[in-house]
Amino acid sequence: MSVALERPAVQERTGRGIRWQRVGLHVFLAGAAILWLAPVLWTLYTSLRPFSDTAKNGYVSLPGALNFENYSQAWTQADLPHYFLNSLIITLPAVFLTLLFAAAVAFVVARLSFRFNVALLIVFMAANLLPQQVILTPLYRLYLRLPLPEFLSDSGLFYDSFIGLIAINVAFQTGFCTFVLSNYMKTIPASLGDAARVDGAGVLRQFFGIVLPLCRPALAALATLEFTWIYNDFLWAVVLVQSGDKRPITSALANLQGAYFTNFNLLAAGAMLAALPTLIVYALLQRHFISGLTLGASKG
Amino acid sequence: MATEIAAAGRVARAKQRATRLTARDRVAVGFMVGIPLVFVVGLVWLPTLASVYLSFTSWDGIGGLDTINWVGTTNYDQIFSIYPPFWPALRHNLIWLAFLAVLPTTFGLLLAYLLDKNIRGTRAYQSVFFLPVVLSLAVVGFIWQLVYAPEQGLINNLLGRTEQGEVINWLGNPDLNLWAVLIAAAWRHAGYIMILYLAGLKSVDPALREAAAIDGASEWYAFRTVVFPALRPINIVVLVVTVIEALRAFDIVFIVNKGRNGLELLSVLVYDNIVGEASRIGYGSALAVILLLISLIPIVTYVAHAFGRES
Amino acid sequence: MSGIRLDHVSKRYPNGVVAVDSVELDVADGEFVVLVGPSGCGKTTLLRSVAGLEDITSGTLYIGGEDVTGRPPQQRDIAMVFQDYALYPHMSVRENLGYGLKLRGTPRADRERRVSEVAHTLGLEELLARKPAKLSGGQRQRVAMGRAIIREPKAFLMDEPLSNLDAKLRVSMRAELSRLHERLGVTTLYVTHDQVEAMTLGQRVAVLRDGVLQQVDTPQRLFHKPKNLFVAAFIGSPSMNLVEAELTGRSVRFAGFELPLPRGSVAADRTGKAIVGIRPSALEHGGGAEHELPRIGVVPEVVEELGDETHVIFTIEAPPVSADAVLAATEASDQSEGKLFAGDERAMFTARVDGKRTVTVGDRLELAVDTGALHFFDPATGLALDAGTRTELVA
Repeated sequence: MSVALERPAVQERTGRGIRWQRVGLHVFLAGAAILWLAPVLWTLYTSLRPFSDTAKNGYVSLPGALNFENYSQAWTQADLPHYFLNSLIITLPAVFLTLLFAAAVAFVVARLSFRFNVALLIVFMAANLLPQQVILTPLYRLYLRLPLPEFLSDSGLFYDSFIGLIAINVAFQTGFCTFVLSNYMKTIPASLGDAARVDGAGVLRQFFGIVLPLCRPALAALATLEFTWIYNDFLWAVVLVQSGDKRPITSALANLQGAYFTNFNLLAAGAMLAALPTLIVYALLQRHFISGLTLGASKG
Repeated sequence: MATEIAAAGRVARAKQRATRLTARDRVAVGFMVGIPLVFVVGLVWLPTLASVYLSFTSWDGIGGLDTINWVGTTNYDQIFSIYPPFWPALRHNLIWLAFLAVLPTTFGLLLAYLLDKNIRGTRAYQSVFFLPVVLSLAVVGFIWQLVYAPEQGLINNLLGRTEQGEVINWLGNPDLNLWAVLIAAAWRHAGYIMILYLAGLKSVDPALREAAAIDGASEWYAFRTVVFPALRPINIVVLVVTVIEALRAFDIVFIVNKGRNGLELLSVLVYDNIVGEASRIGYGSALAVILLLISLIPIVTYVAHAFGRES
Repeated sequence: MSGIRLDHVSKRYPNGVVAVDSVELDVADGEFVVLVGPSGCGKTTLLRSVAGLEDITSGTLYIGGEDVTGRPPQQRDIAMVFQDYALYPHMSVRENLGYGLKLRGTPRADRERRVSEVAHTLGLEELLARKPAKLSGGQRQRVAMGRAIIREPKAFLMDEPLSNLDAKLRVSMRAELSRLHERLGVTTLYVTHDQVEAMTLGQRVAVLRDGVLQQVDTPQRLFHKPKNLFVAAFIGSPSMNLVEAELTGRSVRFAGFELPLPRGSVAADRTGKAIVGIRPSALEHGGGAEHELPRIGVVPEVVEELGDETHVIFTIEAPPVSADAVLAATEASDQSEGKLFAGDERAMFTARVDGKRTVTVGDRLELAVDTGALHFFDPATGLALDAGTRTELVA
């Protein structure tokens, strides 16, 4: 890439200048960071204050006492463990299936040559970019009619069932993962596939024995991303699950608001608890999170 | 014997290809592609087509499929003319898009540029700015409600406006609430964009910047003429992501007030029309199709970009 | 009865490009044949077709006497060594070695025994638990070889296995490969673009150009009796000196020199234009050569002293040969490639003289020409002139 530069005046940079620049930089960033954290810190602060305290002094006041009362209350009274479990029941299988499906399609598209490869990839990718509302109506109606065996769903239908939620999340998220994985798989040398073929490995062996193990970094990154996205999903749960007790935690939070709308402290604690899993994943696996996003954004 | 083989070989065109997949492999490929395809086509593409179809019909959803009747473009006509929330919703979506594209996107770029310098604490700063992206939009909506609450909220209390007459109703006032919510959305969007640009900046050849520095370019000049042009692929991704986020906006608004009173959005209108007892499926579908058409622009752009570079 | 036989094998791509054009090649049982040619000549495609990684469009392929043209790679009983070794990164050396056997259902005890044997032969015993990333280039190469050996196949196919090694290692691995072949005696088809490797490793060498086999012969015969311009220019380092010349029936004239032809030369009694080729080793320092040999006077422009030999590079008053064959052999896209300074239209010749002689740049030097070792080519066809065929040369 050639760039023609005219010759601007050479900038004098004294040692002093650079130091002030650096200081200014830090001040700016630190200030922005504090501003950024403020809402979250505020919520945290509110959640740690007992209701009695804020009822007396208002929310914007120095703390009388700080404790975890609200948390235990949210945990027991608002039945949070139940919703957490729901979230896990939905999220974990969904992440697993999404990655499995995406890897399978990516393998076919990246390592085998078929004429339909590009078209297939587009079908998957574009599905991920559609606004959810576009398919909402027919999906809702479909789910109301599509039957499921009784042991898989209380309602006997896809509607109001875990399987239904898992299915739509998988369908929706597979596209992104397929795209990322196919790009990643292309970087695995073709000679590995050749060697496996000469050694006598069929398609399934090549997939499970050779290519998939080599995709571990990409899979880890995607697992982190998908866990967060599916866990955080709101719309599907709100529309496709009716009975409150099957709802995952994010949409249950909305219900909570209705029930305890004056008790901000309790709600704050509930929100923090709801966010906890993603925060933990984020804290531990930030690296993977970021690499997943950048794998998806940059191209090969 | 050898000459016979030779003669036969010379005449024969290769009958069977050595690279053909075995039957077993073909079955495997069939499953590997087929099952995911069933999910994606069945749960995403067919409903999309169904939406388009339904947008030309009128149906209350209660009767069976035989109660669907074709009404042509009636739904669209009505939406554009006599449906009160439509134009405000469209306007709000466009404002949403413009806001996101201008403020958090450029701020994200700025943050990325500054953090790319690898000063002390870069990791920590990165974590802070990216944190909102990890939170569920429902949680984000809730957090900002605490900030914006009329009597108990952070802002009003800091401003000292907690008395009945003086309260600024950030979320209740239709002139203000869109902007209040946009700040919350921007709070989240900036971090996402920052990460994308950070990755992009890392892929800019450092030799380019060094050459510019040696040539005597000032930082801003170098950025404008060398770095930013090199970010072109990322810019496209950022643009597409921003547009898609703007069109998808639903959760925050829904959490706040279910999308009324100044917070109308196309996505919420779709929801309103399909969930509930007296649903107007055709109407909702028409709204969804409008949403679809608008989002085809970024989708096609992204796909063309992704596959354009392929070939 | 092993061996590889290609009977008019062609590979044509859907877009019309012919990568391999009706190749006929017979590799005898236990023979080591090297396939050599410039990049893009089709040698790798040909090898992959023999392996079954690419389809053969027409013709028949026999391995071990059986027609394997349509069979997939795993049914051809061949083993392949790849240029980048293609070791499975997530498996240990032991697992890499045993993978092929495992897929074929070899019982565990047998497998482990064979792995130990091969590891012992190649000196890999201490490395068995390591993963490829922790091995040096030479070690990886040996594991790749081990993976091929362990299956005891009918033939080895090797795709430039030494080109990723550094120069010194390459030379020692070459010798190892020869010894291995000596010991195991397995039919081997080996691909390389390096003609020195081809000459040193191959019992016979097949020269390929644009998918067409030019000549298949022992290294000696290729060197001394090249069939056409391409082979002549490709084989030998430094390359053969070539220039357009005029045959008078008893002598050959070029660039202001006239050299008498010895009796029995293929060019004797011929007149007309021809291309004459002089190997650098056919030019000797005038001081030490036999008196009967004719001399030419040259002014050295570059002198490369290599110790026991010295390369003397000089220009002659004649343009370089611009035939496609020669350009293809030197992998130049046009005349100007390889020249740092544009505008010099004269041919550069190289002579290999005894390193003990002193040669100075700019000092006129007398070189003796071994006229018995001259090569002549028909400028129209590029074919070597040969005592048998008396084609008329253009006057």
